[in-house]
Amino acid sequence: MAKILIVEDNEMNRDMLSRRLARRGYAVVTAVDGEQGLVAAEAERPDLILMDMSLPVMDGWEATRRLKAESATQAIPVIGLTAHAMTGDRDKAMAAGCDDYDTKPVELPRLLEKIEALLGRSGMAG
Amino acid sequence: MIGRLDRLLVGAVARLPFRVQTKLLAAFLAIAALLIVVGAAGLQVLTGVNERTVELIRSERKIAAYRQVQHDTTSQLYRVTSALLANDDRSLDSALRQLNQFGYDLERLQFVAKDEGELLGRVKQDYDRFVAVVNKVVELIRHGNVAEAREVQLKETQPLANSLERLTNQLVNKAEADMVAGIDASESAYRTAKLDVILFAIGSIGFALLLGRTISWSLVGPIGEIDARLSRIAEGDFTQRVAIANHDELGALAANVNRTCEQLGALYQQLEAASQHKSAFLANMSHELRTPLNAVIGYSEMLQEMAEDEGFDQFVPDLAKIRDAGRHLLNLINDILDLSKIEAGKMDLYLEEVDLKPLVEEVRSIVAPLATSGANRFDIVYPDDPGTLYTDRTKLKQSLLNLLGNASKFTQHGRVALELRASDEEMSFIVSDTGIGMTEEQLGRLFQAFSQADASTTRRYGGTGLGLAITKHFCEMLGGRITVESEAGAGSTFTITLPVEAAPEAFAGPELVAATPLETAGVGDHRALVMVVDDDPPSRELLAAIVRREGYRVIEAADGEAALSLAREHRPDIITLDVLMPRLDGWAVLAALKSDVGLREIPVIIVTVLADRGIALSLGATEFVTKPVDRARLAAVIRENVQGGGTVLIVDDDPESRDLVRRHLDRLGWTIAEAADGSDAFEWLARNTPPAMILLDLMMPGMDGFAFLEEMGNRPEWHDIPIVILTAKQLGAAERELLAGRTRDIIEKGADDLATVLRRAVARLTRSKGALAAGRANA
Repeated sequence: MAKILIVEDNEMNRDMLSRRLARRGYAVVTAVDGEQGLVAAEAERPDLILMDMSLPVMDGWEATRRLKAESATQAIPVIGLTAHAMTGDRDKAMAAGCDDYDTKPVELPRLLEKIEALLGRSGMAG
Repeated sequence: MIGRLDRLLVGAVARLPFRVQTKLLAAFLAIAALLIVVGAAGLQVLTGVNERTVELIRSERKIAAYRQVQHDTTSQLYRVTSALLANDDRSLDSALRQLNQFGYDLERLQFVAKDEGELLGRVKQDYDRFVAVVNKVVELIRHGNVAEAREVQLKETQPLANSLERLTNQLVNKAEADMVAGIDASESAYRTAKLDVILFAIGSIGFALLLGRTISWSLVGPIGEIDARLSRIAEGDFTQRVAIANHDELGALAANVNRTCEQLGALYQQLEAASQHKSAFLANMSHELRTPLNAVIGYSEMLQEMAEDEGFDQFVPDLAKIRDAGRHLLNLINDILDLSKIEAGKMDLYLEEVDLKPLVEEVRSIVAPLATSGANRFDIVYPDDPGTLYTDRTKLKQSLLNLLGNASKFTQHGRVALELRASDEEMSFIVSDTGIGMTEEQLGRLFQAFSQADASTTRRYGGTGLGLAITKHFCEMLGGRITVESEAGAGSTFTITLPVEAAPEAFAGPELVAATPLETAGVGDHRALVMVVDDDPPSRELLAAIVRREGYRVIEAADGEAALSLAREHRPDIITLDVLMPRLDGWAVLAALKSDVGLREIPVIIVTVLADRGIALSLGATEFVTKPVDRARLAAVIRENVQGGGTVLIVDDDPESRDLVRRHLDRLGWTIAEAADGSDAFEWLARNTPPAMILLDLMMPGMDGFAFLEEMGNRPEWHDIPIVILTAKQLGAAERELLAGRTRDIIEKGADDLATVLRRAVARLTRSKGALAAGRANA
């Protein structure tokens, strides 16, 4: 069972996303800011991380850069989540090292596709 | 000196605290008074002349009378003498009567005589004595005492007669001398009076002219200044004020113009601030609104899934409605955010190679359910290999979805189609439907925000009313356009036409980052040389790539010291300068460049992550561009500031004007050729290679500017030479229109100082040169 780390500061979004993913059969762990996200990634070693980009304490871009710089966590695929497709966040997210990117509010089928694709790829690689 | 006096006078009149009509009235009265005085002086001269004429006539008469007396004297004396010799009574009586008659004539003379009174007195005295002697002689003769009579006559009458003759001669001579003197005096008096009158008249006319000029200039000058100021205000410049010294109606007018200008300026600033606040507010609002919406949409979706899974099917349609309403609201918010960003100029483009086939297929999968829900046929027609576009994928997709969404919404039981048509440089996306269409009037309002064809449409068909406004903006940002044809009841056709390669608004092309070796100035290569100074290799290579792509030569410097030595060695046409560099930083390099006589004219563009625009400009930088670099902006700035490298032909009849222009352009690095009129210019053109620009005066003797332009129209070989009109002439609308078709630009000499004027002309020229260079680079 794949384990997904959700890093998201908004409680409702976090709750919603974790419950919906849990219903799809994923093990879900959560963190509320970038720093906690790094700690959780280190401790939990998830198979995939859903990273909100605008986070308190340490934002998603910085957290992703650090994850990708750390040998222990750099193999974990990260999907960046931002509010709006038009803001240029996509390029920034990809530049920070995200493996994929999606906008909020998430369309679950589309997000699941991306998750499956990344898990499949990393599964094959691993 | 005279000019200063004139300005002083005009200024003084302008400052007089009287109303304009009072000033005009005073001037009029002063001139009228002068006319009266001139008239009076003339009259006086006439009177003098008349008096002297009368005097002369009088003298003439007097002379005639004296002559008569002289003549009479001689004849009387002769007669008396002969009568005395004749000895007969009748002759004696007659002689005595005539002698008495002569006495009366003498008496009468006393009325005309003035200065000759004394002389006349002596004549009278002698005459009286003569009469007495004659009487005595006559008595002696009558008493027969002839011998004694003869003796007395010889002894007494003869000397008296001689004396009388002499005296009357003197009388005539004196009168004649008086008359000659009178004529002389009269002539000289007339000459003096004439000179006086002429001088006075000239003085009066001069004074009247000066008065008129001073007063009219004190009015015309300020009116011109106010007019100029109002033109600036009309152009949106609220910074300057009208400074005129008048204390009359014009002063009040100027004060009002200044106040209006200030208020307009303040209002303008408020509006600008308000507009920015609005954009910021909308952006924040959108974000705040979207966060709770995420929850609404997410939870309703989740509930819907759960209801489906656990058999609560009756809840599913309602939950779907909540989710759909949430999504619609979200779309609205996104559209508003997009629009406010577009209007605030903050919408960025992400240009990339976009493969059209997958894009169109993605569009098909999204639109198909919408289109077919209205029982429509949905067709997509495109060539087997539609190829790629260098454009913003998301914006193109959004535009197509907007158009196709609208087409589906407004069409029932019809056909919705998307067709791709490629031409050389462009790709057209044609979205057509057979729906309700639009009237002319509806078409007119079509691309405005929040203006669906009418309000009832919104209620019936939904939608935000922003889609087309956004689509239009997107198309324009991508260097393309959108057009529409429609007929009410018959359907609509929207056509988006995009260039194969969008004019890049923001730097995005990784192909530009390829590193190139340091390039030195090749001999014989006349393209402008740009020096790029940056310590960070990727940044430097990126800048160099941008510059090269614009068609310029590049040299690169990795630090401040290298920059200074390379600048001295190669004399680049322009320098882009980073600020944050080790050792010698950008500010120090800038200061060194600006203090070096040989380098200070080179325009420097500061390219930095810092926001110290003010420092940069105050240190002498020409422009300021922030990192990350916006490629289009940097290219534009370089184009605007690259100078020199060509010949400018000055066509002007005034050698001083030409010399002035020559000196300015010399400094900017241009080669100058001169022609004194149109035919001179044609001679020059025939003998030389075409110049980079012609600066043309309009008013010239011989072939003037208008004739020159007309003749140029017949010479296709010189059509590419930009012609800039440099004129002191105030051009009318008709003349402007006439010139507009034939010239690059019209610059009025009086509008600014010459240096500014020429900088503008050159900037425009180099801009067009840059465009040419860019064109070559693209080709």
